[in-house]
Amino acid sequence: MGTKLGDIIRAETITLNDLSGRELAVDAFNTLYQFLSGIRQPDGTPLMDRRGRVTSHLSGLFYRNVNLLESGIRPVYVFDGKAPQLKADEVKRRREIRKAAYKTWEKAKAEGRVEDARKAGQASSWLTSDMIEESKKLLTALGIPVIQAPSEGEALAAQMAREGLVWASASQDNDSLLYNCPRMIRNLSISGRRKIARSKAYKTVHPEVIDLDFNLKLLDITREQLVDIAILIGTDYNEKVPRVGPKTALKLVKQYGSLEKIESEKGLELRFPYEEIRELFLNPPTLKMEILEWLDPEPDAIKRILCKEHDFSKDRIQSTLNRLSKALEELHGSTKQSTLSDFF
Amino acid sequence: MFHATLDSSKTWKQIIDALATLLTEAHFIVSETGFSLRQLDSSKAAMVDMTLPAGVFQEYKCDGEYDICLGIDELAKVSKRMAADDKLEFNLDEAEKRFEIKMLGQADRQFKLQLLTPPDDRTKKPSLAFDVKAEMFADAFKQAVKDVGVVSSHIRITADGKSLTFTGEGDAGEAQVSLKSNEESSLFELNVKNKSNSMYALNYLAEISKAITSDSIVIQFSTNKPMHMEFAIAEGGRISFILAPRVERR
Repeated sequence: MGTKLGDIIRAETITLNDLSGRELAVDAFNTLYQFLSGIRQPDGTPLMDRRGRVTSHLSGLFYRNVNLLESGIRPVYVFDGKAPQLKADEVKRRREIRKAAYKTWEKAKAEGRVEDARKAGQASSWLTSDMIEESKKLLTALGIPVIQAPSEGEALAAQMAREGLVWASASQDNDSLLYNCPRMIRNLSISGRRKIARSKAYKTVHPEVIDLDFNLKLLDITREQLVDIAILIGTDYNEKVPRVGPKTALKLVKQYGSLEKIESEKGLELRFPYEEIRELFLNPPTLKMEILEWLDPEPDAIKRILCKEHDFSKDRIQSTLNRLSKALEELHGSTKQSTLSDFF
Repeated sequence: MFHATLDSSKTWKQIIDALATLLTEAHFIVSETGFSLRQLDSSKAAMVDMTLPAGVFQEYKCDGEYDICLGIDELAKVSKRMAADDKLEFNLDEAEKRFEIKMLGQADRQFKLQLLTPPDDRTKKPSLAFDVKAEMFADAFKQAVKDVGVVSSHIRITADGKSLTFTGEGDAGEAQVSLKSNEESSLFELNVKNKSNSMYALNYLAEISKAITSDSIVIQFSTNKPMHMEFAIAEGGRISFILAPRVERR
């Protein structure tokens, strides 16, 4: 998903506390898929309520956002609208992969191959419209604003960051940068201890901030050129060019200046409508935005969704909500705890 | 080389319990003159400063100065194992980096706790001047903290020439506890250079209250400045807590 610019982009490691007091536009689909694939039993079975409905996304949304709110972070979730026509192939391809993965999962689980089942289970994650609606309801009950983007969520998140409505956009893939997002945060929803794939070991994942202008200066390219690099290594709208990774793409773009020149002067054949793709990144649909508002969480509504509808443990949800209300009181009360270093 | 004995396991338990109210690691500095410890809690809102002169111990031998840094959880678990009439013996095994605690009673038991790496720098003793100094029965202080805790999570302490007042307010209502400085009062000394009032977090005060095992306590504070609370511990030792105030959010 998205574009893998990883190798050439520099990120700075931060802590959740560094983000205290900041507004962040969170890519909702990206985050929900992380919860769906990550919050599973060892054999890949997602969390489910008594009626067999998947609840991994609700668990993730609830506990993670409580963490963010406790740290004084103000998230706003941006949901994808209609995908651009060019993405149709990619969307279809992903759907097929998921269907195949689901079959593999059922088979592996039946045969007791736990590790295979877990992997296939994760890859079979599929977000239904019911799950999206419930997620929006839960976020609203938490007092977190939910925004519906006209098209790609990351594009709108980038617009919000540019307009200063939020401090940064939070997503796992780098497309935010292509959409001209001045600052993006990675690992916001997955920071903490993470299992390393295919091993029993754990590593600690920290949030990272990526500054667009800093990276453009460092790479000595324009944002248009960054988009061209992304197109060469493959985006949601096109396959990658064979034998071109981030470093080669950077070299090509710096040497020739643009995709047009790479095609005409180097003679590299680009079999996709790159002008149209570039346009999607450079001029995505915008939305006139209102001022964002964060409200107090509504414990009753939260408990109705989680405990009544989906069989979450009442005690656990209540104690988490108590912790949250204490933290919010501490953050928004008229006085705050000073530290001794303020005095000597 | 370090060696000390203590006849009362109760005293040792009181010391560990007092430190456990704020700290997760205890960083003792032992020298020829005794034990000392000065540390901030993890949120840097409070400091604990303790001295146990060599005289607190029955036997005390120490040639030089050592950092003895131990986990509070481990210390607390070990002290839970002490019988009331056990005599205690402490030794430092420098080679193995172990702090030995022997309990000599019906059986001779020995625990060796692994030393942790001490922090890079030692906490300095702050120089603070206070406008108010009050000495009172420890129980009066503890009760005032509990009373205000019924309605509030913060406690405002106000002092004028005649009285020391503890107040709090919350969603449920208000509470006020007044101690007048007169003959029958549990407040037996009140010196006020300037009228002062300051607010402190109740959760800290409640924890610190638990550490008080002496009959009396001296508190010192100034308006919107830290509060200093000092009391005796372990027959000859002193422990003080300094707590930063709650201040207006700007």
